[in-house]
Amino acid sequence: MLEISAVKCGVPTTRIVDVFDATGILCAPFEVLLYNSVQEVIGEDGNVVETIIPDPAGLVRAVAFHRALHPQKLDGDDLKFLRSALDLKATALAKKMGVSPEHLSRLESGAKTLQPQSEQQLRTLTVALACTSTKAKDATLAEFSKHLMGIFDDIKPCRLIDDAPLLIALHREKIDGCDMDTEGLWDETAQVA
Amino acid sequence: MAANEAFETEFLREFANTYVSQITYAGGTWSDIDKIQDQGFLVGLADVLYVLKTGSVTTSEKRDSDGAFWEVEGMTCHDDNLVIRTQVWCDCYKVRVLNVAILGEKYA
Repeated sequence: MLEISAVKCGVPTTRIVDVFDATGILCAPFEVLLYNSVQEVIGEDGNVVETIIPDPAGLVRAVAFHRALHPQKLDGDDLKFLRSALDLKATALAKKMGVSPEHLSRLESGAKTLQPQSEQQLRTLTVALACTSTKAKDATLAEFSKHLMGIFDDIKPCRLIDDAPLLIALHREKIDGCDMDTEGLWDETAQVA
Repeated sequence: MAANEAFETEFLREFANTYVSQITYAGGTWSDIDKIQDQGFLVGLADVLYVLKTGSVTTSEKRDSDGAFWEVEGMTCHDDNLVIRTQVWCDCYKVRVLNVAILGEKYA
C-alpha cells in the first residue's frame, strides 16, 4: 500500500496512532479505544489519506468477545451490535436463541428486556462465534455450550457498574516471530491512561 | 451480471474472507459512516466487512496506475442497503475502502 501512496502523494509518512477512538466506526453503543495499533498514512498536505486497521474482522470479533464477557447488562443496542459483529441475520440469531424474530426485534428496539437465560445464551453464542471460524456458524447453541460450560459462572449481569460508562480498550498483541499486521491478536489493554 | 462483474464479485468475496487484514480505509471513510449514523442509519465496520463478503460488484472502472475502482452493492445483516466504493489492486491483493453510502445516494 505504501508504494501506491508514493505514486499519488510523493513520499508518504506514516504514524501509529497512540489512541484511536473506534466507537464510531464500529457503531458500538459503548466506547472502544485502540492503543498503539492503528496506522495512518499522511499525505503531503498533512491530511490522513489512509487508515490501516490491522485485522479489522478480528477487531470486530475481539470487541464482541470482550463485551460478552463484561458483566454490564446487555441492552437493545448491545444486542444489535453483537448481531452485526457476528454477521447474523435476525432470523438466524432468533433461532439460535430460541426466540421468535418478532421478539428479537422488540429486544433490539428496547421495547423488551433480555431475560437472564436469553442473555446468557447470547453471551455464550457471542464468545463461541468470536472464538471460532465462520464455518462454525451452523453449529447449534447446545454444541457451543458443551465447550463453554462454566465460563460465565463468575459473571453476574448488572445494569451499571459504579455508574461508569462502559469502555473496552484493546491493543494489538504481537506474536513472537510473526507479522503483527496479519498474525497478531487483539487483546484487552489492562491499564487505560 | 456481466462476466467481468461476476469475476470481480468472486474475487472480492474471496479477498474479504481470506485477506481481510489487507483491507484499508481512505481518510474520509469514517466521516461518511458518521454522517450515515447521524441520519439514523446505523452502519459500522462489521457491516462494511459483511457487504464486502456477500455483496456484488455492480460497476467497475479500470485505471492503469491506480488499479481499479469497484462499486459493491449489498445488504448488512440488519437488511440495510449499502453501496461501498473500493479501490482494488488485483495483482497485489489489496483493497481500499473509499466510501460507504446508502443505496441510491450520490457520493459526496
